[in-house]
Amino acid sequence: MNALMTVSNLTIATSNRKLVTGVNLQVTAGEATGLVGESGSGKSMVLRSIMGLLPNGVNVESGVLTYGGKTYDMTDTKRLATLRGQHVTMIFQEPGSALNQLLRIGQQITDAVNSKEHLSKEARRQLALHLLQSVEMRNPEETAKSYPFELSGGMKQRSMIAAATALNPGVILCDEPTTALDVTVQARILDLLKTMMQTTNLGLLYVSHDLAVVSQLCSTVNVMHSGQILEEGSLDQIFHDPQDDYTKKLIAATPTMTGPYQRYEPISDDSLFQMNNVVVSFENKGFTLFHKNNRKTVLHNISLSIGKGEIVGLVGESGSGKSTIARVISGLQPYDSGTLRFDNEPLGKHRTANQNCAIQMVFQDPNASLDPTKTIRQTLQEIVNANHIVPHNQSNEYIVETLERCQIDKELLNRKPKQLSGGQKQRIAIGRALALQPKLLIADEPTSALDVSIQKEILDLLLDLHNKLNLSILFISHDLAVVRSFCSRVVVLQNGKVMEENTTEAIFDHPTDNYTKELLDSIPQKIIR
Amino acid sequence: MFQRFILPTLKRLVTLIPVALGVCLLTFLLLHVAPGDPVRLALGDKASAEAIATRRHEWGLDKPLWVQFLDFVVGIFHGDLGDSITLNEPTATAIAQRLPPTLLLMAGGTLIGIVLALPLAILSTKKIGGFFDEFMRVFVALLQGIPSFVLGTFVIILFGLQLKWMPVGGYGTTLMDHLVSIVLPSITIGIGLIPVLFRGFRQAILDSLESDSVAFGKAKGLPDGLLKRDYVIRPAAVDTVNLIGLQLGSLVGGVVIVENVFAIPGMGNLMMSAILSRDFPLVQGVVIVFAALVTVIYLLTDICYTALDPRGSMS
Repeated sequence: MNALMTVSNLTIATSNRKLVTGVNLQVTAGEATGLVGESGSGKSMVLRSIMGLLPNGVNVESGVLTYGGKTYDMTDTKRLATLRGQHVTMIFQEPGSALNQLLRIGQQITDAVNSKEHLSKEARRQLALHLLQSVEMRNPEETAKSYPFELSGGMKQRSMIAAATALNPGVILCDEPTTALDVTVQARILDLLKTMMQTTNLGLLYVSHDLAVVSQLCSTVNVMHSGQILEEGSLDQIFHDPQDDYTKKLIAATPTMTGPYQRYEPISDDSLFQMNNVVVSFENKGFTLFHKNNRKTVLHNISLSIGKGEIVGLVGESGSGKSTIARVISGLQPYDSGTLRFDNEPLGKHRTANQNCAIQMVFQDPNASLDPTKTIRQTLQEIVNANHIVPHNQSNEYIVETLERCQIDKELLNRKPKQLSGGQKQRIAIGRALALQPKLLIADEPTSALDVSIQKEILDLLLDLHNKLNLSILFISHDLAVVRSFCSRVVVLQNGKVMEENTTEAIFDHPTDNYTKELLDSIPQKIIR
Repeated sequence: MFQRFILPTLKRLVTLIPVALGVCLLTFLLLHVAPGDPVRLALGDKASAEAIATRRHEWGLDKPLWVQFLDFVVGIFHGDLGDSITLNEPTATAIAQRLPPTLLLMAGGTLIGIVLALPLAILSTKKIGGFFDEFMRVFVALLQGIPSFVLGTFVIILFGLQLKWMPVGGYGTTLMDHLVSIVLPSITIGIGLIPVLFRGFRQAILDSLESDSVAFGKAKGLPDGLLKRDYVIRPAAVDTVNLIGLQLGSLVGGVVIVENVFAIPGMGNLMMSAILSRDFPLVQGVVIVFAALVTVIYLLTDICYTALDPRGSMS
């Protein structure tokens, strides 16, 4: 195995703290090396140091990079910069902000080449078309003339790859390039990267928090934690015979597409919540000459029901209407037509205090439900007292008790949200919802902003609460593996329509709808235990 | 083109009608509640009651207020802003004479402001927190504290009296005269603009330097010059178009003082004398033209922004 690029003994530090210590990496031509770790592990810093793109105040302390038979001192950013573009390049997580908003795609994917070779206008156009074809863009002519804001996320990511490979570099550093994309688009981008590796002998250094994605693409995997590489090995070795405890924990926490399904029978036959033929439309902002009322329908005749004690998964890609449904159920979103029933009573536009308490939401970003200026105790006390859940003099014990259920120590009660970790905040957000004694909990992507190990803890907590309190949960997620491991019934949503609805087992094992099949095929699922 | 520029412009012009009416009404009422009688001022203390009544009738000041206002508004739609009381000529004629120096001064001042502030900001961000950057921060804070009449006096003393490069006041009669005499007041206005423009440019450049698109531009292997031009300065300049527009709008007020310091026969000068002599029609005319000027500047700013940023939309 001959290495295309190696990094040895890389140490990155601020003036008072080491962020990365003694990292060694190797990238081979035609293969992808994975660098996996949770947020704050320093994986992005490693990539940025190779590019000479470390933020102000962060510097390489030591490190040697070899590429093409030459050795580079990594503290010498000037010399390292000569590698950029022609030898080593990088693609980013957010193609929307990484592309220049003011330049047409054709111009920005060719400007690096043009600055070196001074192409004619026609040659430049041809080069742009060639590059866009090489990333399998459907409409190269049109895309070349577009501005980034006119393209979808996937097209932007393809454009970024086209721009990065314009000077035929040997190595692409990939910083979570598919994390911001929908799962079907992610699958296509991963396929594209695979094809490019094979046809042009590119080497990739692929950074991700998502073990499943890495398992799709990489032949070697490095596991990184608090600035150090804990374990390095082939894909098989890491997934089937991990040596390090942290790696084992990471793998165990990653939801898989195997393993038993959840079966919770609803505790009674009548459903807790029913939604019948709900339609939601938004007014299209902007002036049109002929149609004064130009409305865009985001939910088409949605009907769904949630049984008592059931965990229902609602899956779909961005823009499918998942969050709109959650907002309709919780009364935050007015709807055009349709009816809602809750606990055998109609749920009108004006709800009683009891109905409001009985349906609670947990959001993706826990900061959204916690007041940053108040301590946790103050926030919860306010909610509990305003809704007269318990007599005033008992509210303190009640809050302590509720949060203990969510495994939050009572000492944390006097802290403000900014003094807590992401996982702690999400637990408290769940506790906040529980404090109102809901019958239905709507969890809108509650783990999407969290690391996998914390995601596992939050899911375990929700399951525990479900079992102990007979809580019904509507679990909204774009992550099918999580839904599979957590829900007993699944509703698949696309463009505001229900495509398929069935038990988790039936959806995953025998999908009938084409869109469901496409979704399932897109899941990175090489991990098999 | 039609959807992006022409239609929104037309829409904007339509919404200007109520704004214009409001401006007319406000200036009309404010002048009439202000103390001081134009007829008394014109005829002097010793004029007979009869003469005053006759003049009052001639000028239409004896009609009810709402009739006077209506006459005034109807007149505007005929391009007639009424006759100036003190200048013995139509208000429109007086304004038409005084508008060009003011426009020239505003354009020259803004141009000098941009030409000075942009390179200073670029130099300053070359080494953030470096000596020049720190020096500029202090300098700009000092500059902001100097009122424009003091600044104007400094400019006169330095360039006019010491170096004798330029005339220190007046406007001359030929176009060349005009251009030469506008230089010093433009410099005064331009320097006055530096603090706000410099800070705006500097922050915009810092923001784009930290953006992902600059990082990706580097990763693509772009040479420094191109990266600076297309990925740093261009987005920063687009971001500051609105700021420049706002400054231009507020200049309409600032130009009054500078015109007086340099004795430029512009709109500011005209307004001052009109107010002092209670020349109602003239004050109204000047205020309406100023208001129109500000709204046109904002409209042009929006058109510029839309043209420069592909995402921009005017609606």
